[in-house]
Amino acid sequence: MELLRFLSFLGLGLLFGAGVSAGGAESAALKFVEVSARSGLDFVHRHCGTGEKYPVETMGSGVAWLDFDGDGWLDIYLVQSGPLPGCTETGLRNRLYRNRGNGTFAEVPDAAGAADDGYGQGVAVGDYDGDGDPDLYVLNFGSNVLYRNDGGRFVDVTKAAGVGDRLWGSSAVFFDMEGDGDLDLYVANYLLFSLLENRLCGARRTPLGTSDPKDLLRLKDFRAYCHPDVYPAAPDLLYRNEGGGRFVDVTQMAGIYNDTEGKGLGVVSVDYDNDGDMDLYVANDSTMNFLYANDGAGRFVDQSLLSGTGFNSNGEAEAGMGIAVGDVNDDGWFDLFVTNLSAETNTIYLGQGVGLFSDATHRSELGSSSLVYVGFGTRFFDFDNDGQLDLFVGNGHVIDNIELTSTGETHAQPCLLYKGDGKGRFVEVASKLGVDLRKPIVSRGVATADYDNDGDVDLLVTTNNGPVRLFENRGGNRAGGSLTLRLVGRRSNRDAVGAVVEVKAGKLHYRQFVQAGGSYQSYSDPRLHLGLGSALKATVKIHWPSGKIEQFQEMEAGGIVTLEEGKGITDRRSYSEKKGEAGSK
Amino acid sequence: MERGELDVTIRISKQAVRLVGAVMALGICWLIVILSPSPGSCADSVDDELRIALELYRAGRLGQAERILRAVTAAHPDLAEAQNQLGAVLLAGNRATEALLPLQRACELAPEEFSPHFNLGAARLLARDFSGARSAFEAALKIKPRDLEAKARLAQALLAQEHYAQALPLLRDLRTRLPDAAEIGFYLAVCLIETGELARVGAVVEELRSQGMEDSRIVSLEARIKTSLRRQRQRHRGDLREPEGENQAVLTLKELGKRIERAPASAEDRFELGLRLEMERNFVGALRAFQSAADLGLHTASLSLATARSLVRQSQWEEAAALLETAWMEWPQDRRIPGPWASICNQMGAFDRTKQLLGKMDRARMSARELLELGVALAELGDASEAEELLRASLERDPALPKAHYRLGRLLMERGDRKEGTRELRIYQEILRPEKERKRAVMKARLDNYVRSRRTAAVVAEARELLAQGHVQKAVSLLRGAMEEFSGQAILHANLGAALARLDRHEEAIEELLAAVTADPERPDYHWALAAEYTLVGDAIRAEEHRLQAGLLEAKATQDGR
Repeated sequence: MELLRFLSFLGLGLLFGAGVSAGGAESAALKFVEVSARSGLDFVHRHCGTGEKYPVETMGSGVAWLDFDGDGWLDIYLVQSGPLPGCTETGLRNRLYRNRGNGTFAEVPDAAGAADDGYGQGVAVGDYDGDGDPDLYVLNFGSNVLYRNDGGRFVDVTKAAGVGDRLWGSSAVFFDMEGDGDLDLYVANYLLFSLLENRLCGARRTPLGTSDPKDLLRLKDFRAYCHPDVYPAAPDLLYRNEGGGRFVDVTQMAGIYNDTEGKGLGVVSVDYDNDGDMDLYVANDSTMNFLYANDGAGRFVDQSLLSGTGFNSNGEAEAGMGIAVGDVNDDGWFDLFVTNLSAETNTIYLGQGVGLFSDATHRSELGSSSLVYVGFGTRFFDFDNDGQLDLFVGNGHVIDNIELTSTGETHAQPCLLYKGDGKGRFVEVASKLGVDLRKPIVSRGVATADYDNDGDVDLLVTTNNGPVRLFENRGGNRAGGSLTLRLVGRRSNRDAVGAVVEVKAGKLHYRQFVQAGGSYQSYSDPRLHLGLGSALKATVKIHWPSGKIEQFQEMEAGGIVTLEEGKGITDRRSYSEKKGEAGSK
Repeated sequence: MERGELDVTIRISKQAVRLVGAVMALGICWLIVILSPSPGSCADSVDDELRIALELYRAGRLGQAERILRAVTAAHPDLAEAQNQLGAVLLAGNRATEALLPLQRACELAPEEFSPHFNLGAARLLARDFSGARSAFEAALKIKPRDLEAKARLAQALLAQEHYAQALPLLRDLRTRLPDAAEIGFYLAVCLIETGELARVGAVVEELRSQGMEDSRIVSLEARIKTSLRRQRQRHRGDLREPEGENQAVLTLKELGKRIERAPASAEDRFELGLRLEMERNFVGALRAFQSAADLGLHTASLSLATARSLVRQSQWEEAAALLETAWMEWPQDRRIPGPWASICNQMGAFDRTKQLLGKMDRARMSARELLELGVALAELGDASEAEELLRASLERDPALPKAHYRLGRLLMERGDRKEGTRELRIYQEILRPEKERKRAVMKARLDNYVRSRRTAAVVAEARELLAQGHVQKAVSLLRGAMEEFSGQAILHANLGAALARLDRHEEAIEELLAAVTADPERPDYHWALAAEYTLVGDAIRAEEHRLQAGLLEAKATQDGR
């Protein structure tokens, strides 16, 4: 009888555990496969820790997808941390990998001039000089660096641009704060910490595997990374782009300055109130998150408390790390998702309109699955092209010896992948999409991109003091059709950051926007990937940041389309069928 | 048993040991007076033997006295005075368990006599049978209601059982009659703290100070006040977390450790050990200690609550909820359980469970926290109007619950009542403002220090480099020069102290290190350095003081860890 019961249980498992239903198409074959090694990505992050437990060791680092050489294939820029006192490792520099277009990458010598050797944390990408190629802003524990891209070669222009902030930078976002067509820069700084003021933190260790009181008493002290409460907050910064390659610090003037509360780790720019200008949301570690409402002229009002996004529904400040933004319930208001520490849930704030949000973590079924994990990088994306946003969360504990003080937590942790239903509810499906996603790693940066231009979105995850992981989406493009849009602004900022796209395809009707920033210390594919399910065509309405609205009827699924503001479609490529074949124009 | 009160238990039991000696002297005197055989009531030989036994006892020859008394009680088992005397002698030899039988017998034989009841109470106190001790002392006080010693011992028994409210009037009376008895003042202060009468504690502590009570005991009272305040604050916050550990816990852990090292640990000892480990944020150790206490048969609501706390710390939410649910079924009257249980369920998103169980309770009898948690569950389940009602009811019980104000504010905002919603959110902000201001001040101070330290960082780095190269005198000059520019920088004083120590100028080094400690008293490494210097100049006492301070600071630092 017991055997029979067991067998019937197995049967149920097979029936319901085989695959994920997506957009009406069966996607049993959809899975994510880790391809870092075979694709030539040999980058390994080193935090250079020597036991002093400098807090900066455990926080990095980020990654960016960018087409630095303009060949239509997204390349990878990886941020390296660097030497610390007592560390003997040498040659630690940021690295750039060129996408060969055949599923493999080749390291670019000297990172094409961007091989910064600072103690790296995050990276932001934006065409701040509007010359058509993506520039890089690297956030360091120490001076940040701005690299201008001159046709595939980077030049350090930090000093001339005036953006070499020396505070501990974590994430940054390029966005156009006053709608003048150039990209400004917000820098989320974390803690005021110096190596000379490293505080002693830790706990007492109990020998494992014993409950004898005499053994329990024989404790040893050990060091651990400090709670951020131990250090003051480093104030965030806002730079206005003055043109001519110059930025000016307007933090105070713009109403952003806060030197006591903000321990910023993640930042995103989004028009949360649909008033046509870009607002800011900052994930702060253990202090209230910031929601700054833009008045359209680049002056901001702190709406964190009243909007309901500063704290969770219990009024508690959580350990905000990364941010994902998207309209998960297709109600026309963008929603905010924040990753937090273990014993806290990750938190989703659903936009309610009129400037309000509601903490819907449990209603969205994103709560209990995240309680034991420390979330960092995160992205909403549509992995199975059903037109509904899904969610990825990279996890990994901050404390590398957490196993000494907790039996329920680990340093390396599995990632979470949730499938969205388009109504604001999610189901965790990572284990159903291949074993690779569930292997415990110490995730930090997360960035999404269709790196192989095959019509589905892949995942790139950096790990702290470990190798980078590229998870290739296999089968997403068979589960549903899609269309990839590359928007180019003319009156608007050239990257079209903030442009909102309304999509109608069959029964689908949703919005996406061109976002810079978000996640954690990272930058994703700037192109919009539109899942179309079984629809073959889509109508696309673009709300450009300049205010111009353009509509494109009956756009065919299955390719990468470049749309220029006021000029229409300027380029179209079909998706790549096989590795090594670039699409035809 | 609440965590904050445990150190009292131990101290009381030790105190009992110390006091029993004194009690014995008194008890024996009473023996002479009360149990002197009345003429013709007893044979002369028995009378003589009892007198001899008493003399032997006075001479400290307890063994010989016992032998005589055992012979007498064997021959005359119904002789109350002999039984009482035998019990007193055994008690004087710290053999409380053995003393119980003759003393109980003496009480049965002479229930109207004060002394057997008193001695029985003392024996039970020593044997940690606090409720038995309480009955015996109450019986003694029925016979002599104004007896101060019996009142003092009864208060001790009540304290050991954490019956602070009942002990309080006794101690107040004793304090009035015996104003110079510092010991009574100490326990009066404990009772005042534990019953929440914090406003009256200050005066008592000041009196104790003027009476010359040891600093360590005054410090322990201050720690207890802090714990009590924190517990009150946390009750307001409505969360599950227990008060953070006090530095005192480090010392009491050592005391407990000594006891455990001496003998096999009982279930109670393991429980107490768990509580102390928990105070030190050693949650793995605490959980193991609690589990081993349960394995040895300890089965109390307090243990369930403590174990659940540790399980939550280990992210074992389901297990914690299940444990408390079982405990609640077992001790349905224990009001400590529903609130934490519901908090855990709500944190896990198990709102249905909260609704199901808390929903059955009589709302008129529910605490603010229980109403709040039920309100949270209903809000999450979409019953906004019911949730609003519950949140308002919880705020009627406790208007200072920030979580309730925040939840209510959000409900009102979402309902479209922005004015009322904003009002609630502002109240929430106001409640948290003092804590926020305190943090802001701390952070400002750290910020100032950071700015200055960045400027001095280069000097310190250069000085350290010079020291590493052996150019000690140059380092001293550099640091002295820097101090003219940046006065009061702890890091400069500390490094100068270290440099002077290298030159064997220990007195000067001590001076600099003391300046460093004054500027930044929270750096254990400065205290370690001072301890080393004091050792070198032969001042063992100060060396020990700084070693202790360094240890305490490090223990505190461990609590800062995530």
